[in-house]
Amino acid sequence: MSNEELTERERALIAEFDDLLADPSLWAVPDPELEDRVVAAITVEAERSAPAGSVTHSYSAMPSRRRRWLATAGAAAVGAAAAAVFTLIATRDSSPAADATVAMTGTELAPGITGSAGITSGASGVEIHLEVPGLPRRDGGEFYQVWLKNCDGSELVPAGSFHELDWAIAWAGVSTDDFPLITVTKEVAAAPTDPAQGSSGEVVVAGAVAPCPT
Amino acid sequence: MSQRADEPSLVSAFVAGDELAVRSVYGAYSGLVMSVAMRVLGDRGLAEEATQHTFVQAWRNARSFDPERELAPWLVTIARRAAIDIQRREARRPADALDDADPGDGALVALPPSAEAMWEAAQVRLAVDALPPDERSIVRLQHVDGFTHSQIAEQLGVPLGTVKSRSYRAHRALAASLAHLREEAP
Repeated sequence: MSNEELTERERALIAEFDDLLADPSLWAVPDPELEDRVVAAITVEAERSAPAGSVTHSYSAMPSRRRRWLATAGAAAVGAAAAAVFTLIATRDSSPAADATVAMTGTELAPGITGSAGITSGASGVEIHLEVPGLPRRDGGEFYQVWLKNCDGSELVPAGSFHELDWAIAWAGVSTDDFPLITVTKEVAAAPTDPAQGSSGEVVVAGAVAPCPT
Repeated sequence: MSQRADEPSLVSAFVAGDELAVRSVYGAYSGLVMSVAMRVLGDRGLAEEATQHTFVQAWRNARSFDPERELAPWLVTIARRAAIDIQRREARRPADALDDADPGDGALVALPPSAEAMWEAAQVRLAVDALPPDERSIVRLQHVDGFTHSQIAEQLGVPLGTVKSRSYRAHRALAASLAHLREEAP
């Protein structure tokens, strides 16, 4: 490093921190997609805990490009973004609160497991915020798959795959009015045309947004 | 480190769960939180998980946070705890023989950095984040990749003199930002 123009004291100071500056972890930057996941997680919790109509965000209503621009502005200058926050808060409507919280119960494949699923319907689909602790983590091509199912079990819609369900957000492009059953199965990765692409049928956790007619 | 003048109002909006406030806080501090998590876990996927937990946990606890305090030390504390929790969880997973383990596996790290060491690293990260992007990239190429000024000039396609002057400005700014860490020591 050529530091000819730095003072002796400045050079010594930089040298003291050289190990940290040379550590790649110091420079780590999260995947850009993580921001949306964080915002989604917080806004769901905020909706659930706030009195109806009092939450000031509109996540699904804001175009992605605009959201990303605002995020960049926030990173570049917290002050400018904060000013934008309050300006925009005053001009936007509130989003609907979470629709329902569903109890999730382990099957004979996961005895004793209990948890919850927060259901929030939006323009892009239904968001399912799962908190089902205690299931063993699945890795190496094995994973949990969340599904929405209709009452007679004839139709199944995938809502996302996960390593674990301690805290996860699933999405599906159908209404829980038509697909009120939530199931979680154990799956393994498979080729595109492999029959294993469908549900394994190994349901570990299940819950119902609404009762099915008997 | 001085508190940003607008942080108290930003924290209030963050507490309310406002999306843009969440994005502003995330945009300003996600790199810092990620670097803390990476330092503990050494695994990018796990560090991102810890980063997400950190911001959600911060939001959950934000009502008890004094808006007059700085956000960065608070977030670093939460991030370190979140990363250690994940490190412990990973250590409980069934393991292969140690001979087969990846040396970079976070579960092999016996002790996480102390809170003091973590805060020092965090302040270096904050100082780096405060640099203009063109100066920051030169510092990274110098320290992480070990490039010379000439190699950096070639890599970035800018004159050698520009690299030298940016490097000088960047290191001078870093020295000024980090001086208090050594002045505080006895």
